[in-house]
Amino acid sequence: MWDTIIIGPFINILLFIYNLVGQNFGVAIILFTILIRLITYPLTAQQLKGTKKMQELQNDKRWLEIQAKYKNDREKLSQEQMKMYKDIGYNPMSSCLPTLIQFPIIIGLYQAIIRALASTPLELLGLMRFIYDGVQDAGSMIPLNSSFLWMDLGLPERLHVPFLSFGIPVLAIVVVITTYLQSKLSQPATTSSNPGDQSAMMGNMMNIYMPFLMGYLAYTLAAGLSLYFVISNVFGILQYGLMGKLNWKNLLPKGNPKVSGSNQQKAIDTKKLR
Amino acid sequence: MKYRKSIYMAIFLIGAVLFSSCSGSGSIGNSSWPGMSVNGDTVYLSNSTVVYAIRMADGNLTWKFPAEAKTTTHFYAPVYSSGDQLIVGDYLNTLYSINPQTGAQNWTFTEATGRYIGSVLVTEDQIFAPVSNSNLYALSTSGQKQWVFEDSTQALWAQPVSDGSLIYQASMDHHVYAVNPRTGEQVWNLELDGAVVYAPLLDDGTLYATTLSGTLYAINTKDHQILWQSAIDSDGWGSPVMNEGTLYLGDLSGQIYAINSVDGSQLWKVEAGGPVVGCGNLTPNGVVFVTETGDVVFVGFDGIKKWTRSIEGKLYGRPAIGDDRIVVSIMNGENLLVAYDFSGNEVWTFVPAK
Repeated sequence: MWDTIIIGPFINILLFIYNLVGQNFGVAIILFTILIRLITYPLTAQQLKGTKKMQELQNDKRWLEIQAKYKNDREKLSQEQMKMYKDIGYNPMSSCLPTLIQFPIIIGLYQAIIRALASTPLELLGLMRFIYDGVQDAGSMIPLNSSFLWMDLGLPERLHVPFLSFGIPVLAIVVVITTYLQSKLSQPATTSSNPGDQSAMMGNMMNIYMPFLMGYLAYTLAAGLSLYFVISNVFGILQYGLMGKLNWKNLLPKGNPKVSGSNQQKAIDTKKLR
Repeated sequence: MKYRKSIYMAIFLIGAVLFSSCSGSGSIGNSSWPGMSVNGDTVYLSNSTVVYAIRMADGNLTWKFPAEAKTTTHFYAPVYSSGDQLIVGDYLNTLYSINPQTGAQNWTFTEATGRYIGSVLVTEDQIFAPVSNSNLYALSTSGQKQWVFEDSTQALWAQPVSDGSLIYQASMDHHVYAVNPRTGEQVWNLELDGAVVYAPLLDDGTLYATTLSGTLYAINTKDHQILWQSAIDSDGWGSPVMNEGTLYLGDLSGQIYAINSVDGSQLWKVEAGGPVVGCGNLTPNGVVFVTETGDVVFVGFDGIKKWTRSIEGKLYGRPAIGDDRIVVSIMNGENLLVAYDFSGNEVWTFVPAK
């Protein structure tokens, strides 16, 4: 079922684009990635809505009261926070949802790339079975040209320079950077510094671990998938930019953080004392 | 808080490992069907981590190479037997010379950065080794590199063939190249309509090559002109075999064809019962093919099916003929080899010891 619903269509779309762009598999992956991002745009938009709700919540009086009241009782604080999320119709997972939804797409795309770049007779035979009869001329297209710039898209990417005995994983590095940038730039500008705030904690975790996870995958898996990661991240940043939702301030060092949550309450209390 | 962080870290690590596993191997596959060849009274089988030498008469193992299999080395290219040595390449860029009597290693060649998918060709004093990195290597018979032909733009899976004056190398880049065996210089090339997986048949100055686009070409080696081309119903994987001016080949739709070698006209076709992923082989009374669905099909030269035997497993490549036996190699079956006589009676089976 997986092959019929995901792999087969992915392979054929990739090959269709491949043929269209003069049999360049790297460009085919890039265009396919953009297509996927456009199709999953509604999820991205939903994520932004949720983020906006969260931002508004940060300044809600009731939210601030809860932060102050249960600051020493994390369990109760979490419960009350979840109640508030329900009231406003916000799901903390919605910020992760586009990423999670992309996992089967990533796995499917990876399998499609590896199958398309068949490197043994058995694999080539398997690839030919995926190609839709009458839609594409398999015989004239295969084997695919797996070279793109300095890479072999079917192998982990390494840039070999004369004075180094090892290859530099350029794409893996770019994946780490772009994943980090996308996470940071798409994060709301005001983030609660309350240690009990689960959504903020999850967001911070994602910002740290996701780039390294994606970088590890880019380092070990085929370059074609790494190319997908890079283009997906860059396109994601562009999408956010076009919607006016990029928060460049998140890239700055936090010298003078904007107060929020319990810090704001402390500021109020301090003002009262004066 | 620290506990939660550890949980998230563990989730991410597990996710990374699972993702890598679900996505398949790190980059490229490492398996194919067994490669088989015959020399005299011995069948050589390249299968996974081992090359077997098996007696044609009774299916008993003579030796295996290496004696202790290494999991990192994979052999699927057919062994080439050249008198005093056997030459076989693996999927880890190493070409081996093996003593045919003992199975001991003579030498290795490791300069090629690719896999050996097809068999080498050995002439009187040279070895020609096609590699998946798109290069054709010429070596001395003691394994010293002489030249490298780098004009192909895609992998070389087909064994080269020679008429004594030129080497003809079919490529996955849709070309057939003629190469000077002494210098490695290209003499001519001809573009076809698809990739050529198997070595073309060379007969009396004509090359017969099948492409994955389902076309059989007859090419004049003197002036590299196409004498004729004939379309078959589906993608063609293996090259034809010839008997008395008639070519026999199968295709992936499961048809077996007889084609006139003079003008490419179809004489007859018959259903094999499954995809033919390889070449046929000649016996005195007909042609034998194997199918992916596990059938051994014996067809007379008149197009009448004489017999069919079904085997558990998948059959690819070319059946071996020798000593009045037909030997087929099996993938994903109970046995690794099965031998029949020309009447279709099973003579022996071979299962490697675990």
